[in-house]
Amino acid sequence: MSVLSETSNRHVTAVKFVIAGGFGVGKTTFVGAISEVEPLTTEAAMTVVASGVDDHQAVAKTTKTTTTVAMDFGRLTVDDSLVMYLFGAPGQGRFTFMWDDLIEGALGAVVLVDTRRVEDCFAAVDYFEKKGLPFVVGVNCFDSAPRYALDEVREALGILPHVPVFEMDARHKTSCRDALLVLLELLVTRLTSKVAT
Amino acid sequence: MSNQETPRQLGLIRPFILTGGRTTTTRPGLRWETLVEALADRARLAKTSEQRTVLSHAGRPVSIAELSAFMHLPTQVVAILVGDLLDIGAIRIHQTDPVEIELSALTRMIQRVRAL
Repeated sequence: MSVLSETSNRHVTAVKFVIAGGFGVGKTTFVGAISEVEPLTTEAAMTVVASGVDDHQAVAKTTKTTTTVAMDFGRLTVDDSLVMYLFGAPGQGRFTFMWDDLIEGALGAVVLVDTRRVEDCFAAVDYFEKKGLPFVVGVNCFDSAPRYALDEVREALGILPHVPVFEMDARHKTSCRDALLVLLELLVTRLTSKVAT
Repeated sequence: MSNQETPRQLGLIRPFILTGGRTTTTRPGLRWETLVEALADRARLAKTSEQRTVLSHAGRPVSIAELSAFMHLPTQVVAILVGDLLDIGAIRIHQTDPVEIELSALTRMIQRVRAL
């Protein structure tokens, strides 16, 4: 790709959404359903510091290991001055180290729940609530999964009444689209109610 | 390398050699979705092959996450490369303040997503 001979002065706004959930729940499928390109994979590096004692010399010692987490993401261009990015993020607690970077500047999240492993979402839901990140909950209906009432899922996750919880099927593009629309409409509601007060 | 931490995993030694051992950028506002764009006729300012690679991908606005994916480098390393390119005046970034996202932007997003 060659550099353009003229750089456009037009500003392009990039916005970010997070698709969170446990392993295998359908995050990448969801991202792929929305994205105009095949999902790409980015990686985030994190250094974990562990403290311990050196046995031989009884000296406090720290070891640092750097690990990376790969995340699938996609892009949807709205028009020539607005682009949406969607990042798939593991929901489990052990990945919280990279969530600060992940949600910094994010507009909102869709949490995908696998009713066979609801607990995979606990950490993500807690984190989003603590950080005040708007989110919606899509209960992904796997064929073999137990069918819970949405109220039961709501209670299991301990989420507040105003948070939308709905059924969906990440294998279907229209269902993913509808889930993202629920989130976008939630953002509109929040914005317009702020203006009204 | 200097007294900076040494990545334990072999796969990460090369990326942090690229950054001279730096593991984080000091620049604020370089998020995964931040768009960078090469400035016209500034390609010759690039000093390293990695900087040239970033510029080659940034003929149109491209995100730090996409650069990370194309170049197989962690986002932090890409952010450092982007910071260096900003320092030498070879690229610009499209700063977005999410707090300023307006109703009109949300409406356009809704229209676009409905059309999927």
